[in-house]
Amino acid sequence: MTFLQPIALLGLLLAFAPIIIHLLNLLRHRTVPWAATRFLFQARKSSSRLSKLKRWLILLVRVLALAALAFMIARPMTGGDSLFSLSNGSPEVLVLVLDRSASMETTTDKDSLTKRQKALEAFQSFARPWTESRLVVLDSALEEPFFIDRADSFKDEALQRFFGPTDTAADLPGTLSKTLDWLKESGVGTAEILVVSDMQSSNWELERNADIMRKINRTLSEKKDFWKLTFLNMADPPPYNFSVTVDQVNRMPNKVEPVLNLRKKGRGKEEVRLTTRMNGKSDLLEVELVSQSVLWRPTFDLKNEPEEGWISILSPDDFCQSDNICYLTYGSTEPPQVAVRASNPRTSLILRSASQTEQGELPDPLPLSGFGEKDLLSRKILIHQGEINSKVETVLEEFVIKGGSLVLFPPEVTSSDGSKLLSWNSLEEKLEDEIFQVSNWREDSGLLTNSSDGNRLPLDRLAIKRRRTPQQGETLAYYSDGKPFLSCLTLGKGIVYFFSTLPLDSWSSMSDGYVLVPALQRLIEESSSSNSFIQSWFCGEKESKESILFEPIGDAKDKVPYLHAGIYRVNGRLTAINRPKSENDTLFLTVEQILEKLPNISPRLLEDESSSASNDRSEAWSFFLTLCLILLLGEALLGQPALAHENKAISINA
Amino acid sequence: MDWRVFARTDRYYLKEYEAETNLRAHFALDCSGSMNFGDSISKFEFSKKLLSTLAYLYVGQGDAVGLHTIRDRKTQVLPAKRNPSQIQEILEIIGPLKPKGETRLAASLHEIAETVRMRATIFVVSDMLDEPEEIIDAVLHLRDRKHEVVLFHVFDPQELNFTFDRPTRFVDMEGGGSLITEPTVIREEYLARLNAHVDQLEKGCLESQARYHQVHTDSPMVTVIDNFSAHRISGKTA
Repeated sequence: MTFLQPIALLGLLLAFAPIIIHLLNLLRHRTVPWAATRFLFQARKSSSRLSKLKRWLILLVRVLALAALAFMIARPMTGGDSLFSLSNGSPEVLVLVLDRSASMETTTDKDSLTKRQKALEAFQSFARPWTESRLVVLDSALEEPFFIDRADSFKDEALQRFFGPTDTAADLPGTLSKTLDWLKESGVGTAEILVVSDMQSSNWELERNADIMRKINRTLSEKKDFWKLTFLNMADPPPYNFSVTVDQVNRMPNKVEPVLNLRKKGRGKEEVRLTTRMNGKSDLLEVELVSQSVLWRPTFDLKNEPEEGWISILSPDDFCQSDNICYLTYGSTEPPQVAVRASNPRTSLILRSASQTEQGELPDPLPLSGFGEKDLLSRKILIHQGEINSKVETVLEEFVIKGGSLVLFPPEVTSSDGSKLLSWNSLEEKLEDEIFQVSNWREDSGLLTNSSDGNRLPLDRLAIKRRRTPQQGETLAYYSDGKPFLSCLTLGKGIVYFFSTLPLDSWSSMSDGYVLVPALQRLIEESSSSNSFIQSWFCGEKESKESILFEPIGDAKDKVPYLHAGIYRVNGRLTAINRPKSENDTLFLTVEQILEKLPNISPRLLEDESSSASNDRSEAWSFFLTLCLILLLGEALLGQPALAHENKAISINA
Repeated sequence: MDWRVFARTDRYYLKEYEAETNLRAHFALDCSGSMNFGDSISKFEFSKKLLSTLAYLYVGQGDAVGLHTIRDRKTQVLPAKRNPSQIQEILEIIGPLKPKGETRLAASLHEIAETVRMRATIFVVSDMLDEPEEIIDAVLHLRDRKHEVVLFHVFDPQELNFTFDRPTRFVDMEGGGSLITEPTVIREEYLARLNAHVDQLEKGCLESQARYHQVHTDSPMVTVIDNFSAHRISGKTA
């Protein structure tokens, strides 16, 4: 017998309490002068053995009742068929870890049920033998425990809607880890955990989640006898599928040219008829697929359309409905107003070239003298290089506070009365054959983020001979000696970026543009999108989860941005929410690949929807509770005074 | 039949009249230590009240009243007199009396049987904490001497209920030692013994044609006297 709360066994000491109380009572007796002691002596002398036995029995029963109580609190575990187990071996909790990602909406040619619906049915069968267990569902979309009254509750319409289809991706190691954390926090003794997934590789990402899988393995091996894991593999690819996703949206004057990625299963030419809806108006487009994956650039004419709007592209029905539609939004074409003010003419030229628009328009140069607020009217971005006196500093500060973006490059010479806020350290130079090297930078967000195909910007190849590092801001890129190459500072509604070197050959190799151009273009793109009233997210992303004020447009009104793809107006901005591209992953794992990451445990595999598994361990607390109650009842009966003698005493009075 | 009236008038006349008999009442008061027991009023104080009341009533109707105080080996005797000042005598004797010493009720009753020569009613006021057989023997002795015997068995309610709930050390009021016990454990047996003692006394009194009255110290004196009188009247008519 093992105990879930062994510390509670200290409570066994309490079992001696009745004996101690009895002894204390004897010590704390009171003295009474008594006349009829002859009867007391006679009574004690001839006090029957039965009453003495009764007295000791009461004491024993009290001791045993307290001991049973302590055992009950310690939550003993026995074998399922043990004498002590009054239950039918039911685990305390049955948990369904449900992969509720978009790929679970796939059907087969055998029936019309989706994998998600089959998963819920499988859980009903799984739970059938354990009628006493509590049922909990943790799905990959919400990742919160949800209690179910009965296994057949899933037939209720409301619950079916609650666990309905989503357009989200899934992080199943994360969901499983959260499940184990919840079990631990809730103090659950025994649990059966059923993980149902189509094993889509992108939903598990075993390499990236190696640490989490190790943690799961450790937790489950610690709870080996109590928490059991069962997998139900639903990796059954659809017989035929067609999917459409938006790769890019190109906004031209009076037209939109999205780049659509069309994929189909199966080889050979195929003609597909797509239904498009632009701002609510439907149209049909035909496209010929010559291979399994095609990039298609349709053109949508906006002559009679509003400046900002939305488009949806829908493909015909197949075995997976969730990837048949994609959404996009388009906005105005006005690029943000960019200006460059540089003391060095060569630097000015390079910076203007690096920040030109897609149409090849160069930003305006601003004068070095007579610079004032009027020069920054209607500007969104200012790229500045050179000295900053206090007057200019005031103008720049106001520009940033109001929401402008300021990119600062250091002055070539050290200023005697340098700015207090926008200040630089003194000039550092390397010898002929030595350079300052950038060693690490933020690759996941910001100006220096990796490209869309995952390639890093070549910052580590920059040859920097001179530098003046900024004195303030949060560092985004570091030199190998730990000093900042690029830092940023948030001021009011705007932001200031500090570069520590110049795009001049005497300073660095930044003029080659491999770093400078993407960084400045990203700033322009970011500024452009933040000024536009359109945006695009993926379903289940952080932004979609944080959306509070939203209104679905076009489709069903009960959609929510964090679960369903579609067009929404979020905080007044038109937003296209699509299912994550990772859900198009056609690579599926085997359960064995997952089990390799869980070497210390031996989970069960559920081959079909019927379950014959049984828990061979169960809690025996109910036995001790019953025993405690029986003992207390016995104590009450033994302690009952004899009524016959009570009546005798009354008869003397009479 | 009034023969004179018959001789004069030749008619039969029946003449009815009541003749009062003079009673001699001797009160035997138990002054042993056990009589000192009692919460609001001790058994001894209650007994003194009872004795005084009865003595007053008897003297008031012209009967002679005597007193025997029973303590250890010493029995103080006040011979029976019909004089109204006898009440004063009795009160002066029992007023300062304090109960102490062991009970020797049976022996004292035997002494009374020997010393009281004229036929009388002997009132015994005691808690009867002596061997019942010996008490009954003494009662029989008194009956042999043609005395009428009335036993007043005085109880404190605590003795009858024995409602103690925690371990208690009971100290004998007549110096017979002490014992620590769990009252709840021996209560049944105690009450059984007490009942047996009372039953034995009652049965002995019934057989010897003596009167047995159980009186409780929490009862009003009027009730006690009423009960006693009712019994005497019903006994006479029976």
